Amino acid sequence: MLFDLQRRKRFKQCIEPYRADVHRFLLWLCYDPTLTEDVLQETFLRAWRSLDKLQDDAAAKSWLLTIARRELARNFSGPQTQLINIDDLPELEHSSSENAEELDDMRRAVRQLDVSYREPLILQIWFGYSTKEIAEHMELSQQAVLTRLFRGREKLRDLWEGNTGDDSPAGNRTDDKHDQSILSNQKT
Amino acid sequence: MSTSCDQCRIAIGADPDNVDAITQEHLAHCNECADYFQRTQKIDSLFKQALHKESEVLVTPAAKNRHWQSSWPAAMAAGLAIITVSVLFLWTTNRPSPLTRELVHHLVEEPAAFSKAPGAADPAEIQRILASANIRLRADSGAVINYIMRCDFNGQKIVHMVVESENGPVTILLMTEDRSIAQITRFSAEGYHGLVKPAARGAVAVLSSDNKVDLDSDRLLQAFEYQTG
Repeated sequence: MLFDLQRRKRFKQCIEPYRADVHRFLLWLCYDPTLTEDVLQETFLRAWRSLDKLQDDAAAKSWLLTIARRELARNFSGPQTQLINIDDLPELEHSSSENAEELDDMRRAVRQLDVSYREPLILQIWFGYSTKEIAEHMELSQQAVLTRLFRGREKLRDLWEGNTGDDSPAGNRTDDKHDQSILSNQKT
Repeated sequence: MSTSCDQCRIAIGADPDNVDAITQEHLAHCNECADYFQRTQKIDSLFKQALHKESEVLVTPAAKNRHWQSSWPAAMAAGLAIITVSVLFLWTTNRPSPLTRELVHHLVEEPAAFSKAPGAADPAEIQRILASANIRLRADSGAVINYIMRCDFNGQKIVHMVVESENGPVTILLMTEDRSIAQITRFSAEGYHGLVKPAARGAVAVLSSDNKVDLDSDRLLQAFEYQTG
């Protein structure tokens, strides 16, 4: 009974505070509020079940996001190339901020960006993950992560500029082999 | 364009917040790459704002209602089909449903409920909380209530109690606003055993870590009288 109480206390203190982060992460990957809620519950149940496997409480957030990613993947059978059908997304409610038009163009671009590029960008830009942490989360090499981040930003730029109708040059395009060759020489 | 510009832009594109000294040196002398760097920072900033906006839009009640209303007939038909299939499925198995998972999770969120001694709940507090749900504790019930709280659950107000039984503490959730439960459902999840069933008003859930909860529930629930008006 005492052990059970301690476990619950640890769960409440270490795991529950990250519910909102996990919720946002799932939402940004799949853009499906209903699926997000289901996977969120599965994630926290799995976390409860596996709480003893969490060695370091300071790593709770990254541990939860990893569980969430796997739970989301389990909901899709077969190759996971695109989680969302753009036509099924809720209507883009227009922003009311000063840079509303730019922001709406970016929201369209983010929705159009393939999840294999969107996920590492979310982890780096929103959650502040290092490339090493992203590599561990996505079970990729650091070099592969660097490539995805670079290519992801290039594609995002193209999509965003396409949405804005901006014809300014986006710089020379390099192919994947050339990118990887350069990245392999980068210090990580 | 020189190779060093290629290297610089890839370094920026991969991790703009952590460019190394060589890249910084190049940026100080190359206007095109400096411009590329600024545009990358702008894109990152807009990306972050876009994510924030999406998380607001996709979870607001207004957004949910609009999505519901635009596809109401199809959603209603699908919902009825889902409820029918779910009830039949749950009737024949003990597989935890989303509701039962939520119920277990609700318990996990309130660990203090199980740390109270038998009969620890203040009688005035018991009366006040039950009254808020238009329920009365029968004077002759003999119920021993360890814990009572008015809680939020799935967007509704419920009464959460821990009641002492012959087999130890039992959790009772009086969900007076829930009209989705058509018949009794038994479940077993995460070390808890329980049931959910219709009540005089709404539904009631009974959970315990002991699988004898069925033997206790009817007797325990007789202690609570649903009042009209």
